[in-house]
Amino acid sequence: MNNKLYDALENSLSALEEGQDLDAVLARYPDLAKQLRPMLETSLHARTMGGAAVSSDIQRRGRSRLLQRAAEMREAKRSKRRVIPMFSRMALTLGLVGVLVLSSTGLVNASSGSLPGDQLYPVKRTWEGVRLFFVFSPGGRDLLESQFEQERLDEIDELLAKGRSISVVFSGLVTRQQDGQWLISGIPVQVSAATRLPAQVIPSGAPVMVTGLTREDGIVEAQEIQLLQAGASLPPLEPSERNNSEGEHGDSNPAPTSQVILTPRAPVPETGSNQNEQEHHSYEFSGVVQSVQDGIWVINGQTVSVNQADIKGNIAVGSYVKFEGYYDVNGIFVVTRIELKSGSGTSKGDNTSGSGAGENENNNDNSNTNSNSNESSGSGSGSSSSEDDH
Amino acid sequence: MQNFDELKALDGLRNLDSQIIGAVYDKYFSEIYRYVRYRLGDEHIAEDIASDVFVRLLEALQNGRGPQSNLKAWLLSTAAHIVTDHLRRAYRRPVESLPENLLDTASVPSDEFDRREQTREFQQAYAQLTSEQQNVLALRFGQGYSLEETASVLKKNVNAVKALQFRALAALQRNIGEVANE
Repeated sequence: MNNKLYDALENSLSALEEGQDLDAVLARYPDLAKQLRPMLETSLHARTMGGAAVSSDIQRRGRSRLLQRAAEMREAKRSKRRVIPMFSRMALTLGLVGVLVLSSTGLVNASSGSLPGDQLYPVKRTWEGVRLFFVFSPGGRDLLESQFEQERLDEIDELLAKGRSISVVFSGLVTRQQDGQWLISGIPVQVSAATRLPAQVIPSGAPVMVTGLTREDGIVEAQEIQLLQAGASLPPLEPSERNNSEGEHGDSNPAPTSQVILTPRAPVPETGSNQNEQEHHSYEFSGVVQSVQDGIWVINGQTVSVNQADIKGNIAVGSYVKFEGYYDVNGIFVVTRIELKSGSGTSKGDNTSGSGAGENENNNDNSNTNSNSNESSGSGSGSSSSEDDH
Repeated sequence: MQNFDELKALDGLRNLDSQIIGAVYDKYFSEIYRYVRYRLGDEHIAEDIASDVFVRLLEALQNGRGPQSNLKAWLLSTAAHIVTDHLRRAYRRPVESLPENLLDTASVPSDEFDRREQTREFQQAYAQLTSEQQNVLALRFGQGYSLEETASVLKKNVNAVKALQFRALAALQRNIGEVANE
């Protein structure tokens, strides 16, 4: 029934819309006319409520408003586009820098074990230069230079062990001179008539820079030996690996994990009156005592003789000490004075020399830390204190 | 506008092409305006809302929303939502009309007075309908849409629209009678 009514209404509305007369339309549905009439009359009323056509003013105002808004949106879109590429460029730059850093780090790591003559060796040396460039404290710079000199010794030691022939340059202390066979910071060096030497005589214990060629028989053939100026950075006594092997044979204690690097400085000319010491260049080192056996101690892997030493304080294995002495003709370091450094764990009531007190204070910070703090322990102690003492 | 053209128009709107925006506005504004005016019986509010519908169209398309096709249905649907929101707000904050004795009716011709009175009664009766009933009457008698067009905009089938318009007209006729007797 309802559907018939709905259909009748719809058909009647369509007929009215086409302009047909209301009564004529209702005549088609005599049984529904009573219900349909008021609804159709209401629909005619509803049609008249549509109102007049839209005025051109209203239309124009709306159009202007819309186009204005569109212009704002276009501008906002352009601003967004400008911002996004800026971030994109920044992200790209950061990404490239990241890749560069990562790849550089990998390259540097790969080059760390390279030797002179290897393809990556220039990378290693360049990286050392970069590291030095970014060290601003004099003490830190001295330590780093000393570490790099140590690295040169280690490289040469490895080249000699492998029997590779390559040009090398290194710095060290002359610890033995026997005929044409010299020992410079543990590296055996052949000095021949072809070797260019300075005008003055090079004494034992003198700091030198060697330019030469590693030979298959495990010796560096010196092409030139130059005397170094006082205060120049020098490597520790001998190549690291050689020190370790000596440690294995020479002492029962394992090498300390927190190794304090001995960082000597080229001695300055001595002015003291002590004739005995004037015969040798005196050096001062700091380090941890690893072994105490009769008169032969091992300090930071270095075997030293303390038979003639003036020992101050209760020094035991593990003590952090400052010591000075010279190299004898056999290349053995003869300690003339050794004392606990202030702040050392085992130094109860130790006495230090008056002349080195101020310096010891400076070195205290270094003694309590590991390799980082060794920077200053090595850098300043050798030369300045030797100078003061003598 | 054919379906293909409408798709092109939508692309132009997304690109904020001024010519396309102007063309779409010219094509649909009067329909949207008349629909809103029919629903609310107020020309000023109808102008604001109809303009707002087109701004919302641009904003929706810029945000990746908006119509994918059938632009007119989207515009009318949006207009219906805005009108509903407007009525809801108006219901919460009713504005008292001026007392009838303050209106100057003396200078108004009697025919015009009768017409105004009929309009007032109609609008009052219309306002009492449900939103859906108002909508179907606005589309069928305000816009003059066919049953099928109305069904498309309302997203209903034709039979449902037939039933809805029947109930809407019946309710409107009843309401007009009640308003006239007040």
